[in-house]
Amino acid sequence: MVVAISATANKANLFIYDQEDLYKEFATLNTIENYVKNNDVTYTQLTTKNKEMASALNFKDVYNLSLAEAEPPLGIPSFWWGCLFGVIGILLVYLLTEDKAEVNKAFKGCIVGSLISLVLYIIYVALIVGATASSV
Amino acid sequence: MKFKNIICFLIILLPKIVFGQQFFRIEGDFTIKEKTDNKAQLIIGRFYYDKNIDKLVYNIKFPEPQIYVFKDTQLLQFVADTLYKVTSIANINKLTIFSLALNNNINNFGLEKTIYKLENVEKENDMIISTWIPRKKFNNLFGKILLSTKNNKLTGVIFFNKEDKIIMKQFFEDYQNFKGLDFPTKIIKILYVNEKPYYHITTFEKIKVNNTSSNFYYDYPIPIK
Repeated sequence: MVVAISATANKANLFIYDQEDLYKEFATLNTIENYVKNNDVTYTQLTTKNKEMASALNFKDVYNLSLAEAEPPLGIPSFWWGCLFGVIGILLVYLLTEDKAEVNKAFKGCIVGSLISLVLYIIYVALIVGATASSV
Repeated sequence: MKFKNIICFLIILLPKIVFGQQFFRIEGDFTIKEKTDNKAQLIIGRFYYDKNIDKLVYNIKFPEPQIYVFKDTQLLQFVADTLYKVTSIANINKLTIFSLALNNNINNFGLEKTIYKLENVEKENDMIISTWIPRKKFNNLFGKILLSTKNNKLTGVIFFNKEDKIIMKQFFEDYQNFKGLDFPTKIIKILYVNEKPYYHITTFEKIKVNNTSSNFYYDYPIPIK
């Protein structure tokens, strides 16, 4: 019991982050965000109207939105793989940058598993309907 | 007899039909802020997703106006109403936070429909922590995932690699209710790449659920393959 509780407490501690630190990190970005929204400007316009703010941002290519450091997996800019996508997308960010052959196998396995589930569901429904019909 | 068969079908499928039709589309303003070392990015726009049409559309305003459309295995990018670029991708619209929310799968992050299975569930004060592990044939590729929920809402996800090192944390905050749909309006992601943390905050505003006043962006016109 003691081991279980301390193990759980350790897990709960993993779900924390330093909020104050994070907001300090993003202080400049928050300021730029407010300016952009209040003035309804594009990046090109920002470079003219507020060079200091524009220089704080870094876009390799404003029409290819991604983090400059990461090679985008499957050709998708990496920020799309972030929190707007679910678990598979996130895992692919990690795996595709390390072992392409293994990820392809995992993907095929996912598809096969889903197809099997679908077939079993159809059989289940058919059995229920069949049982109902024969009892009438 | 035919009538009874129909009734039987409806009884089996009714719960899915009812919830399935309850929430079918979502849109909202989004802001993405990313910070890595001494570099920063800011992306502002509006997203649209209809789970029946299954097109995910991002109407970007900043840095420059452009539209991204995710449909099937294509990512189409439009600039000034002109097709700018087409990229082949995996079909993952149904794995987005929008699809998970519309299909009431956000609390388990959609994991039950993936290669993961639930290993155990623990309670710590007001937090429930569930541990998900990859099914046997995948456990040499993927690590475990921890989910935390509070008051029946997903609050955190932690991804581990197969060596049991944390590779990413996600936090879901500021839940708001939109016509009965609970949705997190702030998502914080901390991605660890070569042990360096990369920060990413996404916030949502002006969310609308089941808005049928305009279909244009939900079904943004794309060239036929």
